[in-house]
Amino acid sequence: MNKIFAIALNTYKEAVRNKVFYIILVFVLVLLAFSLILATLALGEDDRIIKHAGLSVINIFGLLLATFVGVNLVYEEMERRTIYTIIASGVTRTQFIVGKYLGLFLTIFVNVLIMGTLLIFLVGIWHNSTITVSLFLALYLFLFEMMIITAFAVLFSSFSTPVLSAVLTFMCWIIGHLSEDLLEWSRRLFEQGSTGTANLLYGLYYALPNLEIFNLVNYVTNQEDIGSILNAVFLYPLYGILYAAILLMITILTFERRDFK
Amino acid sequence: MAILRIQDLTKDYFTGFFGKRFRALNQLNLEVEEGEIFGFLGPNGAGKTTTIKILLRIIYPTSGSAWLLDKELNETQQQENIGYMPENPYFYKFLTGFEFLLFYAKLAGLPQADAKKQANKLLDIVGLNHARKVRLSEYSKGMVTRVGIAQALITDPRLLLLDEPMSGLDPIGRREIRDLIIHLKEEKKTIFFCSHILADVELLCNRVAILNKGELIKLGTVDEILAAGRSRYRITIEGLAEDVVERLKQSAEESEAVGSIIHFTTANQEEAQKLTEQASAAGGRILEFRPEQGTLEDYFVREVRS
Repeated sequence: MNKIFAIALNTYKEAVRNKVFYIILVFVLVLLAFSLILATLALGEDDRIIKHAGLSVINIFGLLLATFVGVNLVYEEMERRTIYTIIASGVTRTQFIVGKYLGLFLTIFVNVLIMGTLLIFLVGIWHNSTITVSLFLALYLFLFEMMIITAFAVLFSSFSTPVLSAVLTFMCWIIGHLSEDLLEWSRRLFEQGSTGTANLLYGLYYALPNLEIFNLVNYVTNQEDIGSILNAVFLYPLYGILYAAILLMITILTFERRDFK
Repeated sequence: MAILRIQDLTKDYFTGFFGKRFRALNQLNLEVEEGEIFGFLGPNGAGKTTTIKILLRIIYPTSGSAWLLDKELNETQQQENIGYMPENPYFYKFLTGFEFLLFYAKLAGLPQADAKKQANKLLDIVGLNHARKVRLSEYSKGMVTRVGIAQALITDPRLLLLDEPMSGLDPIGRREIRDLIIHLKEEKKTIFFCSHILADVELLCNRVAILNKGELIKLGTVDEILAAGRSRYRITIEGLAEDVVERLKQSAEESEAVGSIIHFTTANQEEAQKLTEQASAAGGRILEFRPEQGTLEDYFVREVRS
């Protein structure tokens, strides 16, 4: 376990000491400040605008961080051959993958924590805006979405180039947010008699993650119904953890018998 | 006593779209004795790094096995007895020298206090204590190599695998690493040492194995290998007429003119004596007659080319 933590901490340190991390963070701060300007322009809609813009910015930059740091994570270790000395130190490949994953997730967690705290602070000081539990819930669930995206990035990074991994991770993110539509298409196709395609889409709906359940932006800003709060607090996070664990297991399986050239 | 035993180690790679088989290592058999510096030589692509990678489980063998201290090398637990420094090491540049060693000490499972103590001790041994708080991105190539060797020593292993430790270093850097290796031998470490710089191998190693195209072509002590190589003779003569020089060149292996002085090199003693007699008879003055021992490099180049 100590070896996993050592790798995780080292991965976190690498990300934090990378200038890109700070550039992204500064950019986020600027954008969050910009949401205040937007709020002053939208009369009576301040609360909605700040929360909507703030959560969207956090979502997008969390995704960018997970993708761009994640896709380089394993690939660069192999390219620079730093993995040689790690494996030679008696670290198993499973420990290496889990450590790298946890390190990246820790980076994103800290990042979301900083951005989220700032958003809550802005909402708190803004005269027409109020801090609600839904805001905390949205940030909490977003972390589990990032858990899945990070696992995808690490999976793709273990066998393909960073560019291809980034494209594949983005595709998973897009499809993950459209998975309800997959189900709808499948139903329509089934009604039209195209059972083959309908079954394929139905299978894809279950195989691909449903990331929309982690998106509470409309719930926070428009009080959209999200069903049971218990589901949001316990069931959806459990789904996120299990999905990420399965992706990690696939990564470990592909990595275990691999020759590092 | 053999610390490392390699038996019938073979590695095939499958390349290209149709998975064409390429044999990088063929039935390698070796034994490395405890406490020796073992030179593992070969041109690029000979299979040296492939062998090291198999020993470290970075790649898996197609067939064959290796034993460290009579235990088969397929368990992660065995790794603590092996230290490894890769060729052209690239380490985490964002870490300081101390943090870097601390990280590897933790990977080796040392508790925090012991890890710190070991990192400090090793920085002392490799002479980098002054740069302990400097990031590796600021280190020179020689310093990176030294911190790489410190990393390899983190578990106080009995066997050190050093892949091209002198590669790309200036003469001072080479000398420092050479001295460090000698110091490690005095500390009773066994060193398995890959290098292209044969002068260093000749100076440091007790025994040498030469590998070419995945096959072991020679194994023995440096003295045995040099004795098996040809001795040459160098004769320096002054005051020869041009036509005599041309005639003598026919019986010499090499010749080099420096003003009125000619250096001839012959392959054996008989040829050398004959050439000296002919030169004296033609009025030349013999300045030097010297037998020359072939170097490991001569032997290596000849064996690999043949």
